[in-house]
Amino acid sequence: MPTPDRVPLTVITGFLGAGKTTYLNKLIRQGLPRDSRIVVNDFGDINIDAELIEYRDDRIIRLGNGCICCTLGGTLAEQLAQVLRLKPRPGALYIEASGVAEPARIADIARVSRQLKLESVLCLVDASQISHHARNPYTGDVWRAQITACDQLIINRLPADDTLEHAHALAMLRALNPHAIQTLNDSLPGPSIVNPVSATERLKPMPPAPSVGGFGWRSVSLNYAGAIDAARLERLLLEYADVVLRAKGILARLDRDGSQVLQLSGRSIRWLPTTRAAAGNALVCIGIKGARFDELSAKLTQLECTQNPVAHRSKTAMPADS
Amino acid sequence: MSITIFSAKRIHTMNPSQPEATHIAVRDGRVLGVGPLEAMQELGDYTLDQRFADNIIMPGFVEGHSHALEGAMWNYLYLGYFHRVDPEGLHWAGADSITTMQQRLREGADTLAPGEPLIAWGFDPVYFEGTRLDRQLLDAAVQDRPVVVMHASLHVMTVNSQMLQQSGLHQHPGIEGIMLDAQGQPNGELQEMAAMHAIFETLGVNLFEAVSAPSTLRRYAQAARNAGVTTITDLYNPLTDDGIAALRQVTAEAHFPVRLVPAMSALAWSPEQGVERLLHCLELGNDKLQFGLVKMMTDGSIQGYTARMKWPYYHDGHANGIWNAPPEALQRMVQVYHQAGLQLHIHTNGDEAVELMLDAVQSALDLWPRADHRHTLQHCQVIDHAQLRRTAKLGLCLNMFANHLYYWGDIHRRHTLGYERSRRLEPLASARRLGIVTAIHSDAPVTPLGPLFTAWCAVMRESASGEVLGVQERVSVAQALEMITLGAAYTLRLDHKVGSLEIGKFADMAVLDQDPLTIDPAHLRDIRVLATVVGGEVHANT
Repeated sequence: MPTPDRVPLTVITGFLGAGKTTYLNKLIRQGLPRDSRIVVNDFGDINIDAELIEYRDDRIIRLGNGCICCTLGGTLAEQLAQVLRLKPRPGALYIEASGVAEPARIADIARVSRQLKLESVLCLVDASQISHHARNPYTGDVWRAQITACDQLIINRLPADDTLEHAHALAMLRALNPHAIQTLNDSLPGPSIVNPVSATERLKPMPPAPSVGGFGWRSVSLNYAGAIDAARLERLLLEYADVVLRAKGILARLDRDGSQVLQLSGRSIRWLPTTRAAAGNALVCIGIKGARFDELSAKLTQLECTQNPVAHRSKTAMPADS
Repeated sequence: MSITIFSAKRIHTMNPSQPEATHIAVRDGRVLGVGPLEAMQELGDYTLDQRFADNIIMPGFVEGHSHALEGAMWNYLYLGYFHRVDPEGLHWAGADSITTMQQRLREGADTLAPGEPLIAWGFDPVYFEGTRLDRQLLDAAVQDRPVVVMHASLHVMTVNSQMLQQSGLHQHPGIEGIMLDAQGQPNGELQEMAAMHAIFETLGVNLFEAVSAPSTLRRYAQAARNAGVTTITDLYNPLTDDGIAALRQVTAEAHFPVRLVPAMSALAWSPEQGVERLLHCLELGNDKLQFGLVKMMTDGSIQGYTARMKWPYYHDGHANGIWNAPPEALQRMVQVYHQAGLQLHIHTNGDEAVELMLDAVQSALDLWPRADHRHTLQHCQVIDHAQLRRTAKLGLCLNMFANHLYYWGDIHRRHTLGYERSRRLEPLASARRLGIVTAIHSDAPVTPLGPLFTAWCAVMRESASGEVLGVQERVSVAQALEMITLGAAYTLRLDHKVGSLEIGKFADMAVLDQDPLTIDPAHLRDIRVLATVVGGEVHANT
């Protein structure tokens, strides 16, 4: 059987939030050849910009089966074989690997294939999350394997270059993979990332709340000294409904006497009467970890400050990642 | 409306108010009454059907974890160690020696056009210790065409030299998953997706393409009927539009012999799309088609070293397994589906995967308290006692892979788990002591479909070599029978319709030649299924 020219394969790895999609969009914007195909093995959230939506139909092929070899049919191995049978055959392949894929295993596919050649294995790293990922009991090993197996490290969100964290981050990555080309990614959007948490710095870390086991979640607990503006609180919670999973509290309201219980679930907010003494004036809010949730936390803190500038918080807490 | 009354030597109803009876009346496909014949005179005119008068009737078995892929495997040559019956009722003797296997391969090749690849399945290396199936052994049988032998686990294959040559894999001795002989050359055994990809690429077809075709579903239903199963899952169905259409088509056919319960594979869709799709499907079911389950895959398998284990990980020092999707993504899926009111069936093999999912379910319940969710951990082979206690408190159900005790028990004892953990491989008795609703399963086609065999595994806990793995975790025959009927039905949220023989429920039965409750438990696996009854319609076993 004659072997046609081999199709170059680029593997793009990195954890959720490391910037894989942003990077891919940048590649697309810079102009990938028309006959390229992008295979996405991530779950849910590829954010191809609206103006690039044609790529989604045309060139983006979604894998729906996870990383395990030989789950029953439809595996990466089979689906990739199917992609290579497309007519015309793709000119280049990019695999955006799942956050937990072992890139070495995917790279092996190109090494043994008669139709593919391995172009590059890229790994995107969120430098601000290095210590979190390195210590994570569930995924620390995969995180290291991804860095070890790549030939290009693309580093996002590196702390400012005169800080100790900056030096530590680079040294740690260098130790894990002395040979990879390190690139600092300059393409990330601006000010909100550069200075994401100034508002939340006033919140002091607390030990994780045991009831919120998942490390993808964050919760914030606030104790207000005085009554709060209920309507404003509702507006805030709804504005951030995409990252708020649940909120509840016993709160004193400016527009009413006595305390009421607040319940937010899904997108509905309910206020209920309570007989409980409002010893605390507390709000607990649970949501999806990330910049937007941090923003909301900051605004929730300010809610009281603007209402009642002289009040002091008896206890303010934001649990660290649990 | 005509009434049929079946008589039996004994009916084990699984109804705690009336565990035993001799007669069962059926009208409109449902149970009109169970009891002595005298009590049935009040029901009106009836036809007495005595064909099962000397047999035992049980509720039709419920297989809570198997795959329609079972119906597609028989497109290929069966090469398993054990005797197995195909959906058409054809008996395939076990290929219990290399010589028999080679003979079977030769015969298979003779039925194909020249050069056409021969694909076989079901080979289990466990029974050939000391001999490794390699390309030479296959070449000795067939060398004029590519040969691919898929192992029973579906995680490994062995190919002949012709296949190695055609795929070019003979040139790649340094790649993980391409196993080598003493001379450092590929010996034909292939693992891992890189090597598998090269084979699929060369064959030019996907082996499992027909998995959701109507013909596959019909064969699957026949396989179920042969094993006494009247309700069966397809626990990893992407629920594409075509797939849904096929499910609706076959279940609407007259005399379709089983109720199908597909679980949507969560990873095939974004969580939001998945919820929407499944809610839409809820409208599309019928009496023999029940939608509503979601299946998630957390980790891999223990024998494939892809299950995620807690410290000290694998007994033989192998590196820990892999997540099938990022833990954050998995936890988010749990949140979304739980919040939408849907029921999750979550594949967890290793105890670290169990831990992650217990955390996820606990968070979900903290956020959205929900009584009677019946989320079910599937396989759940390695779970420690603290985790079992959490499982009970969180209201989760378990469906354990009891057949593993037999098929891979020796491997787990020696290689993957070691002595102590192999005592509590599938800790069924402990789960029962904690009041957890528990089912047991075959994961067909990974192991053969056969609830009575699965029950035997749960009762005896014997590995293939005869070692008993953890006598404390043995369950009674009565408990095991509940696990293959009402217990499994409960995990599918169908215990109000199937799983026991009580007034108002579907008249679904398994007819047996011997009484499982009086036979020596060691012979539970030898009981024959003579027929099933589905909605009052008899499907005799041929």
